[in-house]
Amino acid sequence: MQMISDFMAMGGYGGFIWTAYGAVAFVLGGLLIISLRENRATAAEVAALEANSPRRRNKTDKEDDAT
Amino acid sequence: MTRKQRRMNFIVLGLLTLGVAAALVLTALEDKIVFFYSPTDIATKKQIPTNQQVRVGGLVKEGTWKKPNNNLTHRFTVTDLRHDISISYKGIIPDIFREGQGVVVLGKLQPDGNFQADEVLAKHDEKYMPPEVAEALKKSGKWKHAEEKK
Amino acid sequence: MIQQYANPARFNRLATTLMPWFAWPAGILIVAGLYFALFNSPPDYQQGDTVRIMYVHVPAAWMALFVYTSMAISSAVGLIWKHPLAHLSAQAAAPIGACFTFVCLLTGSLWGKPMWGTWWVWDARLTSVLILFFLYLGFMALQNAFDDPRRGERSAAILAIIGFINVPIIKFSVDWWNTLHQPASVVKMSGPAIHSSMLIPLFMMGVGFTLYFGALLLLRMKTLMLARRARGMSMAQLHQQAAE
Repeated sequence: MQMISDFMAMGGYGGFIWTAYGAVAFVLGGLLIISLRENRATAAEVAALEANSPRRRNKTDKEDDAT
Repeated sequence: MTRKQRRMNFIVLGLLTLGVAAALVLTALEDKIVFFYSPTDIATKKQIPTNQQVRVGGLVKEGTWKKPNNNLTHRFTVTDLRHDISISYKGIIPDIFREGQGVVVLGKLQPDGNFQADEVLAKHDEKYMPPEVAEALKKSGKWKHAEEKK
Repeated sequence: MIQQYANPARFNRLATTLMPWFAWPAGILIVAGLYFALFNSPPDYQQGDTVRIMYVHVPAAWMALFVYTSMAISSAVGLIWKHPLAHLSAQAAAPIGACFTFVCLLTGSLWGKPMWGTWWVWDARLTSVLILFFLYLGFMALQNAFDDPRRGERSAAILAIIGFINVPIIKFSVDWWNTLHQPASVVKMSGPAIHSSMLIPLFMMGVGFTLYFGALLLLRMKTLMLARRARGMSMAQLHQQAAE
């Protein structure tokens, strides 16, 4: 226990050091999570659009026009 | 000349012009950009006002730091190894304030040439090492002190 | 040769293949770096345990400059050669750089208070890094300030190139002017002034952060490309609906 509390105290500077490391984890981790979510959301959006207008339809556009 | 080359020349010339302009501006503003004056600046430059706050930086001269007893006033001398200036300061000093280390004080120059500080900031150097290594270096005489280096 | 990666599908495949090669080593190096930084490195002879803030502060500062430099180069490539991926790369990099700069400022402040005795001073180093942060924000704002994304792209690229002048100013600010911030410790003429037991975790974190940036840049570029595709497709659908 003593060892853990000594470690957390960091020679009396624990507050500054842990806040700094926490901020780094929060910002860099947060950016990673946001980027992953954005990627998934955009991929889903593209998939939905593709389902809405399948490639096949593009290919048959000419026939559509003809009718 | 192709359009690509023209665009490239434009960017390169633009950056060069910008660089020269920035260098001129920064040189002209040098006095405004420096964070502190050295004791030599204080001693030789006439334009340092006595009625407004300025910053003075240098090393705390060895053996000059009088720790406060009752009235909580720290007294020490700041030196750039050419000129000295004596400082008095009432308040809390940073943890790494030490004799022989860098310091920047904010305050007013008194008419008698002393400096009354309202804020004391510690300035540390670029060296990082474990305490044992610092001890060993000092023992072996390889320690390069900031004062000796200059 | 690079031109062929302008093909979205090809770039997407390449990015997907490359990403794990950045992401895994980044994770491993950062975890190992954290272990050394927090558990297995000595306190400093002057600064005690607060020196541990250096292991995140300094790599973040390196990245702030590195990412900006990459952004300025991409912007120049985008303006000169009109390579379609160049502006995309700058756009993907900007938020990452802004985050690194923010982390650098914040951890610096948390280090400054116990050591210098102040959270913040307006010296040349701190002020020029704050300007870098605003350059990142300005770049992102300018990009979205126009209805035509191409105009936004170009304006932001010009800002990125003009703002590059700040990068050498940041690097040499501590040599050119009196500052409260100490001079360079690692990248300097006479070699590093940091003991090897502290230099090792510092480099681990530095390389870890660089690889993290690489992985995230690829991911964000992929997202931007998908978004562009989505935009194009919904436009096409709108036109189609209008035609019908």
